[in-house]
Amino acid sequence: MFDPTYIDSYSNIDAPYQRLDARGKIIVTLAFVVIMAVSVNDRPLRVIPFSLHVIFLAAISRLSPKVLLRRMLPALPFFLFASLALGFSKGSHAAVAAFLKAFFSVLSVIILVSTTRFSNLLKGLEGLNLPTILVSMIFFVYRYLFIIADEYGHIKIARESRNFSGSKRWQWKAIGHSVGTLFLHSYERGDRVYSAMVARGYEGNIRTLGIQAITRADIIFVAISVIYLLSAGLISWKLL
Amino acid sequence: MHIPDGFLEPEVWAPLTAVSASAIAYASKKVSKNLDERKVPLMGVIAAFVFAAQMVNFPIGGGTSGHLMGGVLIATIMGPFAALLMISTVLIIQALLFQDGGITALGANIFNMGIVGAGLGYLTFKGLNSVTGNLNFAVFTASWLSVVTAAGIAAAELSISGVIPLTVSLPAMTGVHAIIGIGEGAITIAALGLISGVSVDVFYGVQTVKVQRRPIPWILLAVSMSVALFIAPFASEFPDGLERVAESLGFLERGTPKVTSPLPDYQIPGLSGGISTSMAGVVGVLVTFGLAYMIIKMLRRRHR
Repeated sequence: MFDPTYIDSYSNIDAPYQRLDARGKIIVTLAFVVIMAVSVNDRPLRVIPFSLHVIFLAAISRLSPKVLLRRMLPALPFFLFASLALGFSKGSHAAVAAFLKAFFSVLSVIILVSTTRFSNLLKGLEGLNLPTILVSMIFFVYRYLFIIADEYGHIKIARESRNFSGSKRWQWKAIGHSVGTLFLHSYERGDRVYSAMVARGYEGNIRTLGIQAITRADIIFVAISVIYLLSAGLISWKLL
Repeated sequence: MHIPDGFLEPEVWAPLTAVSASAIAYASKKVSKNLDERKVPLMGVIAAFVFAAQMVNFPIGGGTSGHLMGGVLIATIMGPFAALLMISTVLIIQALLFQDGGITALGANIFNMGIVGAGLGYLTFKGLNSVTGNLNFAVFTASWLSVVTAAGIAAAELSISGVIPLTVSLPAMTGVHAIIGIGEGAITIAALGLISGVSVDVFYGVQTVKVQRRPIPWILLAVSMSVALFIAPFASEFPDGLERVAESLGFLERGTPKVTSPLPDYQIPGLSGGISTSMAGVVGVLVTFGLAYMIIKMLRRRHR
């Protein structure tokens, strides 16, 4: 889980999908997930046109199925478990449909995130009117998550090397103190980060060099995708 | 507790997404106004802390372990609005980068852990602290309640969507989380104890030096709400005393209501079973609370 390079490792492949603007890709991914969630209901067959869309995106982003499936692996056990529960209460059709919906939703998100540089993705979210403060916070979590998690790793090693065991109550107290220490360290780090950024000219918003522009290709991509998804939803609703 | 895509019905996730989105918009405005907006880096790094804290495992016995939710921990220090933003941030990152929780279910997950977990947890903490004046008791109860309620609501959402019946999922989810909640409470107390030992006045909106002993209505509302949510569905479905008498004497039919009730028989039309009763209970509590609040406000004004 904690290999920070994995997030952006495929966003620099020179493929058609990677060149599109983040905003368009976010809109299409959202449209995909929402339209599929609303129209599939309990009919597994209705997932087919949506799966074609995802496969198309995977193809124009030149991501290998192996990479996609490997990223999906951690989510699968829960899908299986939840569909199993659904199978008992609503029948096998609903269970298969729910599993496929979950599978292709996650796949579309993985494709979006793997083909877009994270900084561009955030710019895209901001362009789509997500509150600036939230977008900035996502940016900082992305940057500092691995450092803070690493720091907790150090605290944990230190704790264990001091023979961490004993009653549960004592363990909870020790873990609580570790969490408190981690908070204080994070707070101090946040202060230092802020000062360092102010010293480098930070005024409250994050600037990036890469400027994205919406081209004709973006508009065509979004229009065709949304029309396809809507009609896929409607036609499968009527026929399947 | 992160619900993925595909399992919630649109009737469940769409309204919850709307609620969560408006709550985030409101919290963003509130936080940006109160906090020096340039201090966003600090907020961001602390949000990263929340993410890391959620990966902290602790033993709960029987060889299993729970993990920290941290809602009350962060809400008592940074305030409920900043906490909501931080937890939302964490959930968005988990959904985008770690495939933990779905996109359509994001609103529901933010509702469960951010609004109910951190928000209700904070209100419970503040209410209990001002009523009892016992900081540790307030922290513990709030943490425990936040974990159990968040789990209960997640179970309710899944059962409305028909995944698991509430009679199975509610006892299972709240049962496990009642134990996890004990660990959460103990760890939160220890963490806050350590932090407040280093810097004074860590608690947001609470003066730890001078304890105010004034009961506030929010805690009572919270208690009534949880009773309505979790206990009401298990209430007897047999007619109450008056109805029973009316039935046996044969004048029940004559008691046709003058006004059609919006919630006939404590059920919400269109929903069924326990959920319906729960929701009707919540609506009832809210309406009663609102009325009482308004009446008291009016009486107070007249006294002046």
